[in-house]
Amino acid sequence: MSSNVDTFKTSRRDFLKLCATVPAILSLAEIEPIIGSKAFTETVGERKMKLYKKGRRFPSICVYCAGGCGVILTAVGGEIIEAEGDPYHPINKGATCSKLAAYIQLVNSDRRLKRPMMRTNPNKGVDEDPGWIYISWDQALEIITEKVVEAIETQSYIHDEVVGGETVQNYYRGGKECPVMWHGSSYWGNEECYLGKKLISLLGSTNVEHQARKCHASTVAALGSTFGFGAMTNHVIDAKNSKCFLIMSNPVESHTMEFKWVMDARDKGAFIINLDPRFNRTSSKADIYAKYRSGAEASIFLGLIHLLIYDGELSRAIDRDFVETRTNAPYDLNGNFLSDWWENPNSIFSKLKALVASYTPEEAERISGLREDTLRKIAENFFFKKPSNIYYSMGTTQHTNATQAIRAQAILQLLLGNMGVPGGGVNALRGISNVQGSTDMNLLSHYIMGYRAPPRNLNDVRRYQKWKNSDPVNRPGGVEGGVTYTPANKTEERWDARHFGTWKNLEYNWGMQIGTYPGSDPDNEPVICDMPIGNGYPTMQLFRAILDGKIKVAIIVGENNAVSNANANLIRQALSKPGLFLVVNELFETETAHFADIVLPGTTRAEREGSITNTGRWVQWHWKAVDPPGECRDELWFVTQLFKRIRNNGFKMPSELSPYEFSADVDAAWPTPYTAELGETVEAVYKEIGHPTLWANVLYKTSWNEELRPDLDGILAKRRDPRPVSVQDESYGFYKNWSWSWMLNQRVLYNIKEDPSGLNTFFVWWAHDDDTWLGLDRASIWSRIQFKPEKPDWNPLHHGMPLHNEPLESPDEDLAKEYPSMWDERFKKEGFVPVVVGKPSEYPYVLTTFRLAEHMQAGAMTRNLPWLVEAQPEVFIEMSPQLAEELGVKIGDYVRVKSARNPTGVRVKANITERMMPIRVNGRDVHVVAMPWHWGFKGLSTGPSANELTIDAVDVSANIPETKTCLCNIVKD
Amino acid sequence: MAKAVLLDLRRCIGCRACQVACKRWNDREATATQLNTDPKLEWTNPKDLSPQTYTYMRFVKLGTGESLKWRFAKVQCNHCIDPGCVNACPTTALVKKPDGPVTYRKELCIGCGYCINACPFGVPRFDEENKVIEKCTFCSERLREGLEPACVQACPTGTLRLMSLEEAQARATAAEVQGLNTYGLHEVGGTSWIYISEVPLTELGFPKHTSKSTVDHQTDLLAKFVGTGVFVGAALVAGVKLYAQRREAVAEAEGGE
Repeated sequence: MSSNVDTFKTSRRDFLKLCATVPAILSLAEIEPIIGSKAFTETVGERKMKLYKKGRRFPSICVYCAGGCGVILTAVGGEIIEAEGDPYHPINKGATCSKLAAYIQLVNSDRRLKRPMMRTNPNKGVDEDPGWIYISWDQALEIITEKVVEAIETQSYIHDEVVGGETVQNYYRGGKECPVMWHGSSYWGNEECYLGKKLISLLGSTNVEHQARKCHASTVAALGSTFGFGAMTNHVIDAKNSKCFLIMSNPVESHTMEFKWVMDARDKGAFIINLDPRFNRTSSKADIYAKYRSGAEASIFLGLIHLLIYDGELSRAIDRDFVETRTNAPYDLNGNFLSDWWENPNSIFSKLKALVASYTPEEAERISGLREDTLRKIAENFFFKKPSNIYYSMGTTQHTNATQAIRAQAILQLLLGNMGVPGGGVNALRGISNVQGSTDMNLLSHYIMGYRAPPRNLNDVRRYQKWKNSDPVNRPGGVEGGVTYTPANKTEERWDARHFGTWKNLEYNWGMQIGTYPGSDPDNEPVICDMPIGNGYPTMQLFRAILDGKIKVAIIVGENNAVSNANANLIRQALSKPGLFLVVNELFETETAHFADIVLPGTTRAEREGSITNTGRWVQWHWKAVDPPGECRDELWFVTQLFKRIRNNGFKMPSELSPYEFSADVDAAWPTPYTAELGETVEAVYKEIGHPTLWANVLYKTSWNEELRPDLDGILAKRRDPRPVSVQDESYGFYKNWSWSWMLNQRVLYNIKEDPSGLNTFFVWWAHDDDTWLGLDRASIWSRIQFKPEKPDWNPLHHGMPLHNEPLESPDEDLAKEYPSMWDERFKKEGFVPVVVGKPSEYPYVLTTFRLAEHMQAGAMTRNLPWLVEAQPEVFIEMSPQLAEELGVKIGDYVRVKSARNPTGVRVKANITERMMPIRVNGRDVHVVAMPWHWGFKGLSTGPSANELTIDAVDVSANIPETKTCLCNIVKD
Repeated sequence: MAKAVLLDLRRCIGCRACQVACKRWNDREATATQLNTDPKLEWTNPKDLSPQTYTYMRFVKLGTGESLKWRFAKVQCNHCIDPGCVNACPTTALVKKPDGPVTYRKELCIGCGYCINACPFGVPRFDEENKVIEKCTFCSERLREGLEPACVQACPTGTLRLMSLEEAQARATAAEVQGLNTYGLHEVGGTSWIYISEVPLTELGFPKHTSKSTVDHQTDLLAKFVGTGVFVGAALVAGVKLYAQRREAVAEAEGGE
């Protein structure tokens, strides 16, 4: 670089200052090296260091992705002056990603909401000014309370039923019929999510959803039905034990710290394979990188299973002993073990073999565009460099056939014997800091708590009353938590054993009545049930229910649906619906808050304490460092106050509305049954969740253990001891004295060798729900709950094993006929607005979406931070030079991207890059383009979100929208 | 003991933790940026060093098609062992500390800009507002307290590692033996921040230097700007400033008319 001295300007004052200084310098110059810094005024760094040394330090956990990195907050005089990586934390050892590096700008942001606000403009829309006025918390809570109570009063709670020829009056609320919904949040801690779920359940609603539906719902369905739990099977640090990675996601950008451990493994010779439609920052570090067409994931894994079973040389990699002892492959569909399973045509293994026969590498290439020779090269490495590890994320989960694609990954790992070993596993990388915890707390419409269902119907409640009446010793199902399991014979008993224990504990913890009255004759008595009955609407249906006028009050906390849900324009339309009362609790004025009637200022994690669960199921505590700014109030307080006021406003539980007397006391259990002892604190809620016997969430059982750590008041999430407990702990990086991990502090799920309490089970009483031959302690290559023989032959559910199915918007009409989409137009059944589907003739390009290391999900927590906006300043669309030439577009030009949902399209800059290339599908080149989805119309950096184009069709097993694949057209703007 | 940072670009994933961590510790503001439309440097933002940017991540695409590589290179002051900027500074505002950092005292800086011309890597930047130079300080005050520089602490993959200068040089030498490229081991007599890379650093936009010492490199520059020596230069500065001042006054007067 060069510079011209002549251009420098000095003011008169500067010059005078200079004159005063120069003689001093001259006299000091010779001895300068031995003069300490004290002789002069401080530099910026020295001033910072002085403050830093004065400050008090508080351990916290990062708010961004689910890596669970430790943060040290330094506070001086009630202000955070430094937020850095925690050097003692086993996961990140002081390091950060760019987002965490900028975290202090989030905490100290001037752009944060600091006071509750109320809308004055009755019209809602992107271009409407809400006309905010400030109100007090008191006023805000009063208004919300009135609206909630008013809405619920429209719902009936007395239901006549004819039992044994007589009409009885049942008292309960139908969960789906409740006009009050709750959405969010994975940014909230476990205790806050738990209390939010408790509140909305007490209100009688199962219309509760959050981010997890949109990120890993298909993982829960797939891994749950294969192994028992829907979580990442291993944990973050465990990457260091792998010898080969098959990475279907982009951890460098979406889960940066995971890659710290991938690099650690690479130092020891591990081999990295990365498959992605775009060459990204992860691809830059891969030994094999290959492109494929988004939506073809299942075909790739079926192709790999084909090679594993049919290729003479490669088939040596099958771990026959593992398959025989730990999977159901050696059985027939009636549950009979076949000792000659390898050849016996009735074995599940043989059925799988027949099913993948057609997925030759050539066919996988025709579908996916991943070259046959590359697939073989992948197989040669992945099959033999054991333990080998699959990482995946949204690229696999957000499809209409996502559950099947993930099942295929899981089956591949089972055949290779890569399950239950450090360094192996099927590792779902979860996206938000507490998304595992919020999922566990079941802010979801089809679970009540700990993946246990609410009553589906009155019969469930009647059976539950019988179960309560029975002697606990004789109950089927044994002890929950997988310690022992006695197979039961009847479908219902199996279901009951799984769910009733949780209901019973929730009756205690939530002050609920669930059962019949008086209870002695459950079959003929009225049902009095405070727990809402039946599943609610999953997220996409929920917003359609708003449009249909079924939802009157929406409480959205820490979630930005106006950006993050598929077909965002439909969501914005729903949020603008007249008659919908929308409450948003947020840090910033987000795109969703823009539509709100009341906006409440939330707090950052620096301003409150509690536990959060990372992607590897570590439940870690974060400590409060400073008080919230302005009138921001912490989330636990908000939920606590809200329900108290709702009660004061006359809201009653069905049991209270019934003519009968019950001992259940909802007020005594609010916010927790431990209030008298511990106050309205996070600690009290934590105890309620994880108590060894009275646990509310079975997965968190024993996470509170006063005997083990009385010094921490029993809160094992507070453990911060990085010293290894054993040789095994040290070599594998378990850190068993650091925090706590579900289940029972097990660090690698399904690892029968892990000390001290190896969980010798696959928990198949979930994997094999509701049928009789189950009860095998084995993983499901054939899944009973993914088996619906009445479905057509092309549907994987017909087989109970995965097949490839095209995305709903497939770029190739032949493939769409050969491999029909699994989408079944379910919204039609509900009578909702239909999903708009485009044709390849009109929308010829495949649009996929992606994330950047510098931005977080819907963007509020990064698009408001100047340092991150500086690094990734604006939204763009990535396309290949070939497509750019066809379109006549140059890098930086604006293009208009249109989809069938959005024919007007969005205007966005083109980033033309060799990292994108046409992909050869079914004999012709298909152009894949990609857009980050972080943007919206609020914040420091604004722009269209990719979700203004994406399709709102969902996976049939998991209701996750197909945000990763749709068709689009592009024209120069 | 002299400290050094070894930057092993083979490990860099381009996450930009270092870039942001530097802004945080040093209280640097964000600069206005937009999508980088240089096809080779796409995603690089900010595009260059500035008074508000002591370090940034350069994203460089190499090759095409199957052989496409995406490389990430952190750019900052390399903290020369014998720094040209320190030699050129007439006021001793710039100092090479015994433990490695090349730091500066802004209150001593007269904004002459000699260091800018003297730097073989184009690092120091002139802050127009405060009339001083700005550049990476190696987080000198952190080193003194036994802490790593902010960027080094933030690095997730160990691309940046703080070690003794001897060790960094030994590792870089070993890397050269393996056929890898280094930068800062030989350039201008060696720097305290030393790169290891599989692709030559010049392909990543680093200036090519064949000179084996700062003196070689800067003979011309010194002659041009400083004359016979640093202290004489300092005395001359007053004259330069006076000249600038007078010119400014003249310009103001002319503008006033």
